[in-house]
Amino acid sequence: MATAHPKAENRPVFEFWKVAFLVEVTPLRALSLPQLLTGVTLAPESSIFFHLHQRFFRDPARLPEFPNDFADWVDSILGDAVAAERLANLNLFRSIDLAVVRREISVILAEHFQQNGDGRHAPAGQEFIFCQPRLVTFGSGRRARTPAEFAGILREIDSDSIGYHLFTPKAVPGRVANDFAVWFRQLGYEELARQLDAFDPYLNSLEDNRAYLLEMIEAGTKEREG
Amino acid sequence: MLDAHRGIAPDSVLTELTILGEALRGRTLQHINATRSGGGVAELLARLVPWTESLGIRTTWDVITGNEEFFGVTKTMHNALQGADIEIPHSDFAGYLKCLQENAQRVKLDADVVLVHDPQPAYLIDWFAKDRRRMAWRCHIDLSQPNEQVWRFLRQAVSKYALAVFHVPQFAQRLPIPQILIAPSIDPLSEKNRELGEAEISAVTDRFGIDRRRPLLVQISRFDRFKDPMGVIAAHRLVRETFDCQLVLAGGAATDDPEGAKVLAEVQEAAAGDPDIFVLSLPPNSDRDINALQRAATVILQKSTREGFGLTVTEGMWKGKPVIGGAVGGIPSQIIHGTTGFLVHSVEGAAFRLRFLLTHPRAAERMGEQGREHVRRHFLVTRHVRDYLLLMLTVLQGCPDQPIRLPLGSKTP
Repeated sequence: MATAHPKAENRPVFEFWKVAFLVEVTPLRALSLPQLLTGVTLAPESSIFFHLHQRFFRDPARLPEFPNDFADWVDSILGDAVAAERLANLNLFRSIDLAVVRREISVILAEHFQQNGDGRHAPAGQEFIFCQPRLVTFGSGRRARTPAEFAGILREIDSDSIGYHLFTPKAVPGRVANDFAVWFRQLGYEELARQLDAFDPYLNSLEDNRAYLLEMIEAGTKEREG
Repeated sequence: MLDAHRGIAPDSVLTELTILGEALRGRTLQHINATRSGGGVAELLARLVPWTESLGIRTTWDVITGNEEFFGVTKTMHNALQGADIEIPHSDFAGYLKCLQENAQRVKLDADVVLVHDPQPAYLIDWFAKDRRRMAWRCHIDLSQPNEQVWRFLRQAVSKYALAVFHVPQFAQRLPIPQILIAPSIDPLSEKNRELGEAEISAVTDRFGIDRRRPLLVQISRFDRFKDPMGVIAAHRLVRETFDCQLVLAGGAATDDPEGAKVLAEVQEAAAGDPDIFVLSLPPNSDRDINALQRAATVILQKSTREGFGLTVTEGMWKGKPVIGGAVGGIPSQIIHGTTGFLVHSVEGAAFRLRFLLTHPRAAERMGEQGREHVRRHFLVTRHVRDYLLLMLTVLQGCPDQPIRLPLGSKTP
């Protein structure tokens, strides 16, 4: 249940940030599952983060069949549906400890090719190329002081902003909550913050995430705001 | 320019242009390439320069000069870098460098960020040692399988830039500098891409004697062997065994492409006497004709065997047409196979997909709609300008490893 709310003048302000990025190619390439394992082991953390999230930003209105690049490549290029499903089933939503995720991917790949052999090689030109983002984050100029203002902005803010606040904070070691949960907790909406914290954004497109978040926030603040 | 693109480009990109443009207002950008007309690079720059200018970034565009011999060598280099098995004599490299040295005395590098496009002017950097940290090399060609001798030569120059920019990851090379990906784009409001009325389209097709009642296949490209115009004629002949359809092969000439006339003559000879094949050598400023031909098309082709990035693929999709493209270079990053068109590997593959699309007009229409939305999201000039602004920020800040954070209203240092 909601606890004491800060007085209006003491309320923390939520600033919506936007994110844009250039894609940088790294020297790492993979033609097979064993080579993908090597690449995952050597790639910078930003590259692992990129390949787990870029598809959400690339097409914000559609959840692709496989939400990360590793699973998609293994399915569409190597034709290994089992390995692809295992890679798609990475559980990222509690936190994105990249060291743990890297280890999890490595175990999936190592176990899979130990059981099934090295599998197919990608045809020339269709290798997995490890990339990383060069991020630029910038203030959108949209700030909320109340839940109603927050919902109004969330309804119309660009989807990259939603992705930024949902995904990037959880990549900080030790951080579990997304930015939205943190802010509502500061406002005293403990129950709503708990729901936002438990919300898994990896199962929806960014546009669907927007709709679910709005529903949750409107329901969670209705009683008190009303 | 921002206002003119509202309702066409995604809103998020327009917001980003406003914020980034404000941060970079007063900064300067310079482009250097080898030709002011003909070919995709000149066309892109003609659209991009006014855009950055409109955001308050003073933008200049310099073109290097050279004689026939220089452009002969650079065309051979171009072909070799796209995989042709050619050996270039050392004397040719020496002549190439001498010409660039003369250009270096004429060109002034006075912008905050300098973008040097393609191999022709790449070695200019040798005469601007103190400016290297603000110079980026922009590659527009398919470097996926470069000729080793020529790439070894070019690599020495490219390695001296602050960073290199490629269309797709497959073109990136082993280099000691950061390699960034930026896809090219089209301007939806340009003469080549703006909406046209039926009367305008018919006026053009009537002028060329094209029958609008019969299906029309269109490939718009420079007359270049890598565009495979002979393969397109062969595919059309296979399709015509069962479908009554016409083919247009239309293109202009680029001043840095001395081979074009020879290829055009070969294509004209192959099409001679066939009333259903229209080989059109278009003069500069034929953008409206190209627009009309693409809009009159039933299917657009770009059956290249090497391709940096097929602008005509993007143009065709923007006009709501299904596009068949060679599965080479940047084209697989443009066409979603089976959704916005088809990727093919052979003359027979092209013929098979043409027969399918001519038999299934509803599927063709749906592919066209999906293609237009795909272009709107990823391949419009607004996204391209946004990426160049991000690139400027990156170069100005010394290519930092950490994210760049710009609070609202902040200016670049």
